Amino acid sequence: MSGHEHERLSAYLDDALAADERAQVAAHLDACGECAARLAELAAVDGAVASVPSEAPPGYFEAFPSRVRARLEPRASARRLPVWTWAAAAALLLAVVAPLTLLRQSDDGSRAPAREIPAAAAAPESAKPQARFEAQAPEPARAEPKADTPPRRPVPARVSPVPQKREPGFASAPAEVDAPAAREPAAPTAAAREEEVAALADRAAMAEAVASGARNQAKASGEAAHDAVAQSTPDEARLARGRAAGSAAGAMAAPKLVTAEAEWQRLDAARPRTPAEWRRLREEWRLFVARDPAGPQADEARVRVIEAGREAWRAGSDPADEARFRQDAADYLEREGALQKERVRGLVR
Amino acid sequence: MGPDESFLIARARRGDASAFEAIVELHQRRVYGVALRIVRNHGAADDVAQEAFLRAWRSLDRFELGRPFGPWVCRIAANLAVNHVRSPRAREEGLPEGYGETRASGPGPLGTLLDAEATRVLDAAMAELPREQRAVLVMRAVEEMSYAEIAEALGISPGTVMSRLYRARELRPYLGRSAERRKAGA
Repeated sequence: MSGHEHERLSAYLDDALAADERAQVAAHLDACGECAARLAELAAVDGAVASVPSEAPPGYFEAFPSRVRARLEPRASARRLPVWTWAAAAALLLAVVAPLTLLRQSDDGSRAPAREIPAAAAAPESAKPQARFEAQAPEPARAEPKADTPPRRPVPARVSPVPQKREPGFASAPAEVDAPAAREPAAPTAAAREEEVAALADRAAMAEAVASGARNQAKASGEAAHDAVAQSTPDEARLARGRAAGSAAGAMAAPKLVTAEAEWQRLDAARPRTPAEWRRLREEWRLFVARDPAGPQADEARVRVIEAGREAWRAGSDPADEARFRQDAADYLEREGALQKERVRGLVR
Repeated sequence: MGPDESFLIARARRGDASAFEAIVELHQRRVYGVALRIVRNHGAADDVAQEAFLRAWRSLDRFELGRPFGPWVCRIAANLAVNHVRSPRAREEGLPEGYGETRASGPGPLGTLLDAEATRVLDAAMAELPREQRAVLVMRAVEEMSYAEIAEALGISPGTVMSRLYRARELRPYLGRSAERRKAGA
């Protein structure tokens, strides 16, 4: 190789030589045809390697993203609560404790504290919060849930029963599916699951109709929040405290954000496996949209409805799921102001 | 990286799996391509590509917003691919029948010269390369990574990158055939 620059040509090609070395090679190339040809060949190798297609089997790239997604674990940073949530929690706690204290002080003995009401003497189903909600709902008749819909969670005996009629809102859904007990019981029957999905769909439609009423509901009084806390499961109590804090602080947006974010995280972390679970997730996303159709996350949630619907169809090959998926996609694509039409077209393709 | 991708990455960092799925969709072909060129069979390339994205997902907090995501995840894939072919389990197989019969979608530097035979010859030449050289060549020629980036991804020195790249580019069987073809056509 003496007299030629073969070994430095590769680095010269990449502009990886020091300035003085580069100048030496350049001068040599001006005078040496063999090295100039060699340089061209090396460049040709790069071009050839880059031009070779990297093809995959048909359909591979269509399925790959969802395969990766199915393997994603919740991210550690996402599981950590940001600092502001602790501050918000402290404010919420304060807002709940203060009314509770005032309420106890105002008790004249004729009324036992809510926590001590025995289950047997529980309030009837037409509990106060719901009654107020119905009065405010624009379409009370539609807001009436099915009379035969059973409560989905057993109510601990130490607290009053959860009213079957509950306001649609972010406070309700997490408590029903977030608890481990709700996710890992003996497998419900297919019919039960279908009923559950249907109930979710009903609630989504209902919530759409009363979205504005639900916002007014956030102004509920401290007593209503107290009742809700006393009657609810732990998750519901947490969310009810959120509403109470919003009222107490005169800031409606804060609890709404907190609960919406919690609900988003919960739905986003869901990993359905069966068609029925995908259907359930589809309807829960639909309910999410219905609760705040103009909210900042509504557009993405609408796409999630479609995605979950597609997965339900793919998992079970049920024509009804396909029809629902295509209808949801068509509705989205016709929607004025929809932000992700290309993504949805990709799902349909 | 466009504003859309920055937005997606920011959401993914907050745990939004859907946003990350969209990112995967954007970069999957590139990542798979890097993996396939190094490991040389679809099954292994699929494993590597999936693992690259999963590691990227777990490491999103360390990813600097505003920087291009594609090269980052490709470096992860290249590193995984090299380690994969180093593993005893890895078995290098020829690419599928007809692999070289489809041209790249865009005209590359040799687009007009690469017919199916030339591609097969190139493939054979690549197969003969030691895997470390092949990885370096793919990372440089396909991904256009700098020596420093390749060195960092593979845990070697820039000087080693330089020498491996020089040897890889010789691709003697391919260059020999190319020279013969040029003479025959002259």
